[in-house]
Amino acid sequence: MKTITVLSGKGGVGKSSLTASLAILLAKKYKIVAADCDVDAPNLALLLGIKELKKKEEISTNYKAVVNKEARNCKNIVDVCAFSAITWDKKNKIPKINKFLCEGCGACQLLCPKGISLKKVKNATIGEAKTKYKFSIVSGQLKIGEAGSGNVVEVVKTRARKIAVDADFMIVDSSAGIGCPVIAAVRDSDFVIGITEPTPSGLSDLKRAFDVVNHFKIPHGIVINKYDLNKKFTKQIENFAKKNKILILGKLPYDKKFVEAMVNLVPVVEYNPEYEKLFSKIIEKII
Amino acid sequence: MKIAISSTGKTLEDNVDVKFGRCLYFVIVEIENKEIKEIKAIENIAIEQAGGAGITAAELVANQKVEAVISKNLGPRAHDVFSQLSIKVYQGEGKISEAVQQFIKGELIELSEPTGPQHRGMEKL
Amino acid sequence: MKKIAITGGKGGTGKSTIATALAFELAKKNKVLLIDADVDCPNDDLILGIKTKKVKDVENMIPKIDPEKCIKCGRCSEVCREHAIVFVKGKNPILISDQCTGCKACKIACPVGAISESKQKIGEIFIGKRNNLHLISGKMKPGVEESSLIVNAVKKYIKQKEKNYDYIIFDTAAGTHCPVIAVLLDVDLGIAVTEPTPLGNHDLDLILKLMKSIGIKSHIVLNRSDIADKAIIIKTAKKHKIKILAEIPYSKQIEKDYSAGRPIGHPAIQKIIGILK
Repeated sequence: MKTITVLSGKGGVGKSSLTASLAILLAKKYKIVAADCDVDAPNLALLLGIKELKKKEEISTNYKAVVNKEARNCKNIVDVCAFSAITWDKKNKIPKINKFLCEGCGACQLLCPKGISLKKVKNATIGEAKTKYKFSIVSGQLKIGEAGSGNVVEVVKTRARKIAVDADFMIVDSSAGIGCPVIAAVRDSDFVIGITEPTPSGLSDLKRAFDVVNHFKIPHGIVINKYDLNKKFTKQIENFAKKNKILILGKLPYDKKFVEAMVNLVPVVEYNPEYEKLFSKIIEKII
Repeated sequence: MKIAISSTGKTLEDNVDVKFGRCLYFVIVEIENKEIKEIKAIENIAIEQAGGAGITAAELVANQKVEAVISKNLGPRAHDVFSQLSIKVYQGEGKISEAVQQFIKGELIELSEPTGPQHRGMEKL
Repeated sequence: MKKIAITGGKGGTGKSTIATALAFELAKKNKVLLIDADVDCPNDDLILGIKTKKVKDVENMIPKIDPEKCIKCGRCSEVCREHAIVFVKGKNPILISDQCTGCKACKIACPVGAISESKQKIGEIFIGKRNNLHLISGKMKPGVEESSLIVNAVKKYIKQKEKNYDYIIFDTAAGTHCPVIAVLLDVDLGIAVTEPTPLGNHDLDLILKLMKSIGIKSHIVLNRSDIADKAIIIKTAKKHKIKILAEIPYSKQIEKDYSAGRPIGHPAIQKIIGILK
């Protein structure tokens, strides 16, 4: 199974829309599985017409420190927390742990073994569904306020590999940014598609995203979305690509129909079959 | 000397697993006088680990007291572990028995850096 | 001094567009500090056409293991939850520094005090200004995993300077995870920027839940309000009992300004300023 991951650095440039349409086209020729690794705010299943995920389970990839009354003797732990999660509750004379800041590292528990315990936290839900396009999708959603997005991404990918052992391709949608959920999504990929828009932010963010991709030495290409909104800037992106020997996989025009498709939760290649050609050309450059 | 190979199965007839961190097994081969003396297979406990799989897999392998590792692709973290422990990494693929013979003959390329999935350049998937 | 977070959940809804416009407008009559807390991909300097300079490296603690003192017990590796310390029996433990978040559990656990503190660079802090508008950007080093560490470093950096400002505006990252939470924990008000699409709505629901969970007052700003039927957003706003504070219809001029490094102007910005007073 080879893995193709879509990323952008900048949010809102069309990662999920692109991933959905590519998946549908790939599935016409190959056995595939889709993994939505934007675990903060997963959108891919919605775009593929899935109303509800099946086989949902709560997972636990992280810990949080919990105080019990023995911790009254442990005022020293207040200063040890590298994440500033511990304060001293003057009224009750006991340490207080901010659950949002606690990373579950266990440093406080080591200093105060009788007063602090580490509890496994159910920090995400993952589920799967069979799309009407003959492939399955695995999607994960971080619970509100919880940490561990990188770990949850790994669980989503592992589950996707498991339910489609004989798949030719896994296609991965990632989140915006370049931090731990994106790193986890990119890791072990065979090809990365970087999608961007012709704006200074779009290019700047794509470059940073590619810094991460280069760390893993993964071959990658660029798709420029809404390229005709600023042809001058599109040229700048093309120059950047040429200078760094990165393939331009395709240029998608600004089209109100894209927005309509997204609003109606219909993948673009289905909403406007003319786009099949465009997206097929992208695939041809990779496979 | 002992070497480890990332593997799809437990025997010499299985193939080198292209991915190191989440392969199914590691085949540990003991080589003496340029011949295979003993083999055993260990399960890769890191395969379902949520994070840090490459590192845990490298730690597991290093604790087998191997002097070299054969795999197809090795990411930055696993490579860092082996580099710091002075365990050499070689690139191999195909049947394990053949990869081991190539290793013995000195025909395998040493990976001085972590590899991406397409070590030989921009091939299509 | 008021602290406001401009957030939204979904990427590309216009957080930075609105944060910069708001900061720019407020700075005409107030002392304003804009924090670009999207440390993965900071862009506010580009949108405002501000040249910034680096003022500080952000560093986190990494352990330094003294091979002479080390008794090779492996305890440090055992307690490390980030898989940053590898222990092979009979050898000194080794550090995979990329994984280390600086929690110091290893230092605490070491029975012989063989671990001291060293540092690694994980990001940078930049400053710049445009008249009365001051900008501070946090920028994470690519390859570093934990964005919230840089956000927290920026928060620490401004601690002494906060009282000099009338308004501090935080432009957060997309999403609902740690770097966003790190900002929201410290503000008086959150403004969720969204768009009238099912995806925008889905993510709006998540960010409003998060802000409620943290306990901060929130409002909604509907950007590109005319690209689709806003009924879904109205429904979500009602469900959360939160006002749609302002609506900004799509405009090519706004797109052009954004592309060209000009903060946008729109009456909706005045509406937002209205509730801040």
